[in-house]
Amino acid sequence: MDTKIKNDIVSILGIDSLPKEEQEEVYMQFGAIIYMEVMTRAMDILSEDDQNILDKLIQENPDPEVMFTFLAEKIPNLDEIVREEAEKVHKEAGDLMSKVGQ
Amino acid sequence: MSGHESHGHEKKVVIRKPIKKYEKEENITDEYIENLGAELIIIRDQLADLEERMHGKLSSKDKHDIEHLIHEKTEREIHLLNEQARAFIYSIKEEEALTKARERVNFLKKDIPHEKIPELKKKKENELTELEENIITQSLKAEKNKENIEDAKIQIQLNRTRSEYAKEFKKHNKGIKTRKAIDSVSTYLKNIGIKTKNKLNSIRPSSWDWTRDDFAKGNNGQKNLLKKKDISEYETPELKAKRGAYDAARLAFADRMYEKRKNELASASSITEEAAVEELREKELHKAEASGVNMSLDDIKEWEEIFKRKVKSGEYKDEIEEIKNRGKIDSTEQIRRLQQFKAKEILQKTFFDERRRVYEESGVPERGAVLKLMHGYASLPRWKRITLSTILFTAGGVTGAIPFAPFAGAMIAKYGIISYAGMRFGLSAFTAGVATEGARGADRWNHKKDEEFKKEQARKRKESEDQFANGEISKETHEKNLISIEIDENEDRKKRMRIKAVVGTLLGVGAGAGAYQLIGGMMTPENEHITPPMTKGEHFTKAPAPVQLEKTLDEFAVKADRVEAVPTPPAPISTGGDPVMLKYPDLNIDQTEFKNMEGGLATTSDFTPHTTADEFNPGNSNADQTPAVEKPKYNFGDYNPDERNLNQENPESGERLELPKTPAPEGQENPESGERLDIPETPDPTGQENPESGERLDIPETTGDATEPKIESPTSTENTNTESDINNSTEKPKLKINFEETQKIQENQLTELKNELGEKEYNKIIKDLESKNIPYKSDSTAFRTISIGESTNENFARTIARNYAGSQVLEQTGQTQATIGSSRILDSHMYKLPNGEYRSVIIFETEKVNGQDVGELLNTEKSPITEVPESTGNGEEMKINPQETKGSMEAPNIESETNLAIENIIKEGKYKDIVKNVEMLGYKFEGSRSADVTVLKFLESYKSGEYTLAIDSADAPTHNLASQAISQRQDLVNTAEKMNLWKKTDSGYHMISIRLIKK
Repeated sequence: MDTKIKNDIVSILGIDSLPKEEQEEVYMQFGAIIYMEVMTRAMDILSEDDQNILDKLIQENPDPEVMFTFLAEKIPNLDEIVREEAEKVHKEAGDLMSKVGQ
Repeated sequence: MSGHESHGHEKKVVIRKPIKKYEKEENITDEYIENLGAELIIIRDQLADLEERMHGKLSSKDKHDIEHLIHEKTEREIHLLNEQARAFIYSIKEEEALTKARERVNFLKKDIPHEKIPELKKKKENELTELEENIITQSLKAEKNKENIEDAKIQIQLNRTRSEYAKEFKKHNKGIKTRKAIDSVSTYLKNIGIKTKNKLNSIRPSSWDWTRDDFAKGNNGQKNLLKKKDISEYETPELKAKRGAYDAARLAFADRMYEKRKNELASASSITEEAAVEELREKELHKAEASGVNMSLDDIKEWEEIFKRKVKSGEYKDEIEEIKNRGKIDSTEQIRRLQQFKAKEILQKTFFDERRRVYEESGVPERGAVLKLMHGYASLPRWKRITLSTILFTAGGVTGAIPFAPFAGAMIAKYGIISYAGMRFGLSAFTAGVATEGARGADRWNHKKDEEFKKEQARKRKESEDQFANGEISKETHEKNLISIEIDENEDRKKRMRIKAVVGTLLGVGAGAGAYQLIGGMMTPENEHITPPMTKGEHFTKAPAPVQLEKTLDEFAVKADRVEAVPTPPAPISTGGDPVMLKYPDLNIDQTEFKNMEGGLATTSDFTPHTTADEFNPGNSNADQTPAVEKPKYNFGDYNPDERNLNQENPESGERLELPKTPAPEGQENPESGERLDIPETPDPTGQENPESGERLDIPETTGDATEPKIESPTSTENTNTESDINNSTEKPKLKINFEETQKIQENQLTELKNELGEKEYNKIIKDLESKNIPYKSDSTAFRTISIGESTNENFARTIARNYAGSQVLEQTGQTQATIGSSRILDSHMYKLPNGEYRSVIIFETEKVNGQDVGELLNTEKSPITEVPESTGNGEEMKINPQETKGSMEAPNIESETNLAIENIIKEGKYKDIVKNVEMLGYKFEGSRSADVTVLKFLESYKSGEYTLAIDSADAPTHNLASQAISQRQDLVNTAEKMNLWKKTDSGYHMISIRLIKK
């Protein structure tokens, strides 16, 4: 990932120019996307048995904390996945927004 | 042939035709274009509703139906956009006609001077005037249409490329999955190989010469596992091409938005040259007239000529420029606004909205599961969503004010969102010992372990007693044992209090300014003295004069009222499970009524005064007849209709209104000691156990309303059982505190502070306080304490310090739970530490505990009295227990009538009446949706019977503050649907927020 984008993502997106509440809204939306990407990717990685357990968990209680607890047990490099997905989202948003108005 | 014709201008008839011709031939009128726009708005609104529905629980049939409707509506949306484009293209033709009209004008202008026949000349002049007016009108229209055409083209291109990309994605998805599955097996096999190699590597003699290239990185076997590929690695060239086109379209759309906004800002802020000259002319003329010379008309004409010449020669250049600049928004401000627009609107439309659309159009894999997951995410309380999002977002590496979260996934898993945030934002509040404790904080929040500790202590105590009774140990040893047990318990309690202080702050982290101000505000007197941040080492000697803060938001929050826990109507008449959108696919809001709401109302009117629309006429309100409501003492300004009804008579019949009583939630008590539990009610959303180990998962409480950490939110025990609370408060046993014990505890606290700060820093603080005559030791008039909080965030540091101060005062009282009042911060300082963190030091005092003056509750007459400087503000009562820090303010005896009225209006259940009556009360609906749609959506959820109605209201000098006052409180409760109303009052703004909370 481009270092500049990585380091300046908040300012590239201009999030720092927003009032606090609006910043929170933006983070919440990013969080939702990253969470979804992480979960989609994690689902593919799990074994069939674990996928079934995850499916069951999702049906019963799709609480993100429960999800992360389960995935951390099953995927040793979960942090790496989270980081990569976050970076990808940063990159996509950063690439787009850095070109706007140029 | 007339003279006119003889000039060879036969074309004039031909020229005039096109305008009329197009108007007749094309069925595109202004009204038609407007209707297209209006229908687009409705369609998009309906689509938004449908999409929202997709996130809810649905049967497969409903899901299928909704998907079908979404498809239909999207088709219609595309059709409308195309139709708009066609209309705009027509406008281009119209513009061609305009060009011809302009030619005709030029001809007439040239021709008229030569016209010899007066009638014909007059006719031509009229034609010229008419044409010129027409041209101006049409030009403006064409110009606007040009913009619209461009907009529509870009929008259509975006829709098309998105659609193509989504289709391509969908087409390849299956193949991708298969290839991924193959790769997964392959990766799995390779990983087995690597694991084996790693294992061997770890035990191999150093002389073995395996190349490091065999391993991805590091020595850790897990890290060496080959990474799974993600979907981008499986992209085909076709998919990449579609993606590229889609990205380009998104960028074009974003650029368009940006440019339009930029132009808007520029044009809105500038004064034109002509306007500037005109203003200058008037000014100069006024000057000339003011000089006392009587100017005749001829003089004025002459003056005008001179003025024009001067303008032309540039003599007034500076003055004109000055006028032009005066109206301009400062360029910095323009840039700021543009940046905000980009970060908010453009990002929303081109990134978030587009992401959602691609998901929807492509039918992402495991869509059902993903939707369920998103529902789970969306169901989190706001503060938790913000915390989780921040953790996830920063996992990608962000510099600046937000800390980097490199181990996001595992940390959330291990400690939960709260504890993770705690470690990140709060634990630096105390020194290493506490940080270590904080790292185990999540475990400590587990009831089980807490109880185990208490049981263990009880066991030790009993064992010692038994041994002493049996003569196995001496009295001295027994006493030593007891002291040791007590020390352990005190230490444990102290640690928990510290954690609690952090937890209280974390709620602020989560809920943003609202929540932490609420929490902090509870402990903050009306006015607070602070000093600006300073660097370490110069804080006392160079301390500037304290700055008095302006009145804070908390002040307005106090005035906020709430109707909550209103018994909801009985289950509505069955709708067959059909969502409204299915039932009313076209959502003709003018005709839709919710009959089933009326069914529910028949019962609700049994316990709440039924009010007709007329009664809510501002001029004929029955509000004053509503019996006064006695508020619970510690009601936090909330208004509980249960209580109101229990004490109320029917204004018409005089009968006492019977209300189904809300069952009092179980008090959180330690089953052994009967003490209130200090730990936030944590988790067991599903009674989850670790699927492998069978251990309970240590996850903070995440179910229903209980997802809120136990700050005493308005929905907590205190609020729903107000009657007993009133009794409790009056029956609260009088405290008697041993003054010497208090002094000892405080000495310990100060020693601890000294250890944490270092002797030098500590002495500086004490010296500074003494030099300013600020008391910091408890005496017979007040409990006092010095507390510190440290965090990367200045506000958190201050809030931690405040919360910790409350815990320390509580410790001095020797109580596990008490209401402390008349509290204030006597002095506070903020330092920036070399590591970039902030340290807040506050000197805090409280004069009342459980409503008693400190002097009354201390059991000694020897206690000294310290001269206390005049209070910096009115202390507010607050109730603290180790579990939570919570303000408990005297509920102002305001409101309720309006809230009651609103409540009843909603129960009327007909959206049209609701809209009408609310507007009759003088309120306006807030938000981008129309009032009809807002109310419809609200009622639709309400009739499901799954939610409880809650009404908050607030008065504040500005709309923004009223809104914030309400938001502060609502951050703590899970809201399903919300309607905000506001009106201007003599003193500012009154705002009402009506919400649906999950039962």
